[in-house]
This record gives sequence, structure tokens and C-alpha cells, in this order.
Amino acid sequence: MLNRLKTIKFVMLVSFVSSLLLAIIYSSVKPMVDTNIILDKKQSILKSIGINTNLLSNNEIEEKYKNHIVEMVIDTNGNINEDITLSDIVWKENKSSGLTNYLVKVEGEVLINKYLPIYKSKNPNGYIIPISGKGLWSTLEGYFAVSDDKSSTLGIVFYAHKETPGLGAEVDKPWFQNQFKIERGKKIFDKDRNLKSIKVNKQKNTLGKPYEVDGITGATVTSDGVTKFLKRDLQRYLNFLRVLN
Amino acid sequence: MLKNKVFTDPLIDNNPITRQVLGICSALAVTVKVEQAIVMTFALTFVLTMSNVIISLFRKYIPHNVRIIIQLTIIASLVVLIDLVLKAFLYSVSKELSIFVGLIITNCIVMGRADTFAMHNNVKNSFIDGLGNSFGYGLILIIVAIFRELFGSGAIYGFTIIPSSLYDSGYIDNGLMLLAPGAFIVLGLIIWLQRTKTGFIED
Repeated sequence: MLNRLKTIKFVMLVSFVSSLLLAIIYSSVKPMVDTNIILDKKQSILKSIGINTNLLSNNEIEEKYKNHIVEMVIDTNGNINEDITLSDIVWKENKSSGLTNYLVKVEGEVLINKYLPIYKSKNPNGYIIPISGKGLWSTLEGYFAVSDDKSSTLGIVFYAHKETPGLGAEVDKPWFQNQFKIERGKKIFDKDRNLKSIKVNKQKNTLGKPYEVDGITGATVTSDGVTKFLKRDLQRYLNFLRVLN
Repeated sequence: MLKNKVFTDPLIDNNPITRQVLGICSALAVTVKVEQAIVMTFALTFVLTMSNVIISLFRKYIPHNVRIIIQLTIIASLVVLIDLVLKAFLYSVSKELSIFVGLIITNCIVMGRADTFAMHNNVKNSFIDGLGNSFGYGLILIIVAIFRELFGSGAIYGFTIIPSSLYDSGYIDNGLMLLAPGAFIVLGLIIWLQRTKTGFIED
């Protein structure tokens, strides 16, 4: 009996000490982790418009971000809203579809997807749209950039996913992402301003086809997923994208 | 046991991967790139050495019937700790290692050494044993990663090795090397080579 009591005491002591230690360490590094996540997103936004950030220090990335990117909020009609800033928007993932819902609290009421975040870039001029959706194993999160004609693609970046290395994970490799660069001449609208989006085509050989890029061999689900959620997410920005200013 | 032997034994003769055949899962997962393998080695070295030291320190007090739970608590705490540190200081690497750091908890090497060595040996020897086994694990990890990165992506530690003229003349990276079977093949070749030399035969 005495022995058993000793055992329980020991287990409790070990659990207590280790949880206490972890709690202290967690709360002390949490701010650093949060900064890293924000910085990583900024880096991805810069990468989506073709700015290489690999060798830059954290301060240089912040500096570049400030120089190139303007954070904006638009409503579903495509008008820029000046009263709401990007930090007012809460990003919440729909776990089954991978769609990001944007929640804004206006006068005590939570509005869902009434206001959308978008980034305007200078040099190269364009707009960056956050995209997210399901691949095979996971939700892919990234940014998709169009030029200031709101149709020619500038680039695509994925900053979070858990796809198979060597297969689905090829979406974050240069060969795949380079296809969205401006010099490849890919477009999301046809000349009548109908949304075509970009199809990730597994047949490959998409050179010169404006609404398609080469898909990934052996990663059908990821390729189709990107096709699907890219169009779905662009659809939400349709009123903004369709109008040229 | 001789001090030297405690350290050098797990490097080659009693290597945790090729001889004890432990920790195979992570050896397949994090050897696509040399950088990942190196960071994983450091992470494991930290966890294994610290857990060996802590468990050896309390080995006389740990009640025998709940020893596995105590060991696991200590190991898990250390793993969460290293995961947080990586996220705070080496964010990009921690992103690439993703779940594999968390999976150190289930790395058989850590539990294996804790239960078979640290529970019965003094702190100093346990520390050395932890280092030895980590380096033995890391050695194999890095060798496998060198082969996989070289033949799978044409680079080592991110630096392109295979000249572009070779690609122009029709050379293609071997995609199999990036997948788990590639690691199995390299690992199998290493074990074969080692066992031919040492003459060890499984009973």
C-alpha cells in the first residue's frame, strides 16, 4: 500500500514538474513563433510577385514588404473598404473544404465573407489573393498574384501543405510555380471577361495555352484540387477582378 | 564497460539503425535532403542525451511498474521543448521537418536506450551512450540523405552538384530516390555492406 502511494506521488510529481516547465517555455517563445508565422506569410506574398527573399534578413523582408505591398479590404461588390483593415479580419478554415472564411465583427455582428482581404503590389504592379483548399492529404494555403490588368498571372506560392514529398509537394517547387510567371502569358479571363481561371492539366504540354499549366505526374488529386479551389477562390473576387480601373 | 566502447560501439558495430534496426521510420522520412537530416540529428541528439541523463539520474527512484510511463513523459516533454525551440529560432527548417520532430517521441531508439541502458547505468555512461547512439543514428541518416539528395534532386545540402550540361544531354533526376522506397534501397545497401564487413548474421 505504502509502495503504491509512493508510485502515485512520484507520477504526479513528474507530471507536475514537466507540465510546469513546458508551460513556462511555451509562453516565453510564443511571441517569437507568432512573429515567425507572420514573417513567413509576408515572405510568401513577396515571393508570389517574383521577389526573391531567400537571402534577406528579417528586417529586410519587413522593409521590402512595406515598399511593395499595400494591404486592402474589399467588399463582395468589389469596392475597396477603408474602414476595415486587414487585422480586423479573422481567417477561419472550413475543415472539410479547405475554404478560408473571413470573419469581420461590425457593430457586434459577425459577418462571414462579406469583406475579403487582398494585397495590392507595386513594382511589379498587381493584386495578390490568398487561396486555400484541399489537396490529397491536407489543406494547401498560398497566394495567387495577377498583374494590374487583373488577368495575366504574376505568380503562385504555397506556404503550407502536407502533400506527399516528390509528388503533390511538387506544387511548391520552382518548376511548377514558375509556370505562373508573367512571361509565360497565362491568363485567368478570356477577352470577354469571363473567368477561365487556370487549369492544372495533367496531360502537360500546355505551352502557349493561356488558361492551363502543366500538372504533376502521379499527383492527380493535388493537381485537380488546385484547379478546383483556385477557381472557387477567384470567384469570390470576381466583382473586383472583372472591373478594370 | 569501457568508456570508449560505450561511445564508439553504437557508431558502427552496434549502430541503432543498421544493427539494432530501430528508428527506421524517421530514417525514411527525413532523409530527402541533407539539411533535414542534420537538423533531425541535432534534435534527436538533444532528446536522446537529455532523456538518458534525466532517466539515469532518477533511475533509483523511478518505480519499476510505471517506468515506461515516466520515461515517456520525460521524452515527450523534451520533444515538445525542441519542437518549440525550432519553431522559434529555425522556422523554415521546422516547417520542412513538420510532424517528424513530434514523432521523435515514437522513435524506438529513445525509448530503447532509456529502458535498456539509462535505467541500469550511471549518469556519465548514459550521457555518453546517448551521444554515441545519436551520432550512430545521424551518421546513417546523413549518408542516406547524401545519396537521396544527390540522385533525387542533383544537389547536396542545397548546392547543385550535377552540372546542367548533363541534364541537357538527357539525364533525369531519379524520382524514386525522393520517395520512401529510395531510402529503403539505400539503407538496405548500407546494411548489406556493413554486414559483409563485420560478418554479422541475424539469428
